[in-house]
Amino acid sequence: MGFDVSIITDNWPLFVQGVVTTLLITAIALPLGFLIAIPVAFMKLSRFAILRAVAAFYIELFRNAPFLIVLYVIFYALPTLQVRLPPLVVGTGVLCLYATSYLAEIIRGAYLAVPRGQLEAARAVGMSHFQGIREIVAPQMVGFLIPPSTNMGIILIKETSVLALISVGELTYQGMVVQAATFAPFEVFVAVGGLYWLVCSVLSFAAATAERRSAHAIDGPRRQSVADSFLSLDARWRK
Amino acid sequence: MTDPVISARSLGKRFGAFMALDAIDLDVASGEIVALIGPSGCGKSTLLRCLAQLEVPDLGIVLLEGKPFGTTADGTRRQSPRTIDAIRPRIGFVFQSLNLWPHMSALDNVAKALISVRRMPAAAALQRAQSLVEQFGMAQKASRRPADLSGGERQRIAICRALAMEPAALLFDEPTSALDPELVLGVRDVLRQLAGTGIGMVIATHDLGFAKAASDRLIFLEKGRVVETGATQTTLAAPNTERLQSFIQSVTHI
Repeated sequence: MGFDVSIITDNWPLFVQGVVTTLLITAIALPLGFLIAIPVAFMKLSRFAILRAVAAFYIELFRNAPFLIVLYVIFYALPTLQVRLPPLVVGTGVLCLYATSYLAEIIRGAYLAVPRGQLEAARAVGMSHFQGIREIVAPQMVGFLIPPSTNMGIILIKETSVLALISVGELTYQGMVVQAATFAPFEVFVAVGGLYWLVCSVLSFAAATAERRSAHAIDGPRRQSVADSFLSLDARWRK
Repeated sequence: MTDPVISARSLGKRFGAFMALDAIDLDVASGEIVALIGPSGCGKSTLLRCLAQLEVPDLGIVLLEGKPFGTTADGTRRQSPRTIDAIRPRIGFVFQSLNLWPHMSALDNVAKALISVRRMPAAAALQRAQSLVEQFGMAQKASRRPADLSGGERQRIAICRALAMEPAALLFDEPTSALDPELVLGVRDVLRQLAGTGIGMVIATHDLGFAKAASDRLIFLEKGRVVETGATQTTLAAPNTERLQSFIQSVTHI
């Protein structure tokens, strides 16, 4: 079994275009999904049952069906409603809605992870509920948000490959184009897979750095006490 | 006796079928230290939280410096959240777990409300915070995070945070529970010093020794009701009710 590198080198502009489109879709869907997820998360935390129900309905609707099916349903429903949008826009939008359902739960979890007393202390010195959340709770949520949001980003990058099925020109789609022209699926999909891996690894690394910084911001320079290194059960497994 | 800084009139609070507070009347004078004692679940913490309107009382009214706080004067309607938020810092609250904000330095903990609530310029707020922490002997450690302070130091920062808003009254929930026993008398001295400035204080505690050392007056609560109240020294020396007598005996077993 030979591996013909020229299949990749000859078609690199298409692969690059695919990577750029994939990153573009993710770079829109993740932050936008995050923004939409903030009100959804707080609706789910609301004391009003109706708001909780609406948020839960939204979350379960998008979370409990395969992404491909959600995509197909919306993609094929829009024309019947006389809405005609480019596949790139529909694909990015659906990916964003899909991400929102998970991100809302991630945000809710981060909110609940900050002890209740923190907000109460803010109220005690005269802050409003909203001000306390914004100025005291939210900064402490960041550390709890980074790891699961990184997961979400990685999942989204990989999930963009599904958009190839509605002919969005992202990385998998470009791979299929090259494959159709060269009849060399092995080389093509090794390249495509490698590129996904590379992009996701860079994101993981960036997130790990951000997480370290935020932990640093909350705890100050971590000083490990002597006792800590002797007494902890898992001490020998840590650096 | 001067006018009370904080009062409660037939304050009631219910959690489902459980009567947490039942018609509590309370007056705390300027510079007075009142200890709330009683067994676990007697309503000490709930009373403090209702006084600060961190818990909404079901019945009765709270008066702060003679003015209604939380409800209208007749107790029928709730004040607007904005009004309540504006009055609340006049009551300083020192939580049992202190609830310092871990992502800020001790100094920022103290200055935060001045900046966010009072809208003071940051430099002026920090200066005021600095002078407060200096009074409490914390000048050297003001730049540290709460995680890098000892229990006693954290408590002083929590007190400074409440004092920054110039409260008329201070409420302490179990101030000695997390402290090294050697520090307890230090807390008493701090409270005495604060009382000298005219702040009225209510201390929920299960530590009878501390209540005896620190308070002027004592309120013994059980099942949400005031069982006995009186000047601390005389009440502890000669309790009127059998219930307080047995409570004192059961906690002073040494």
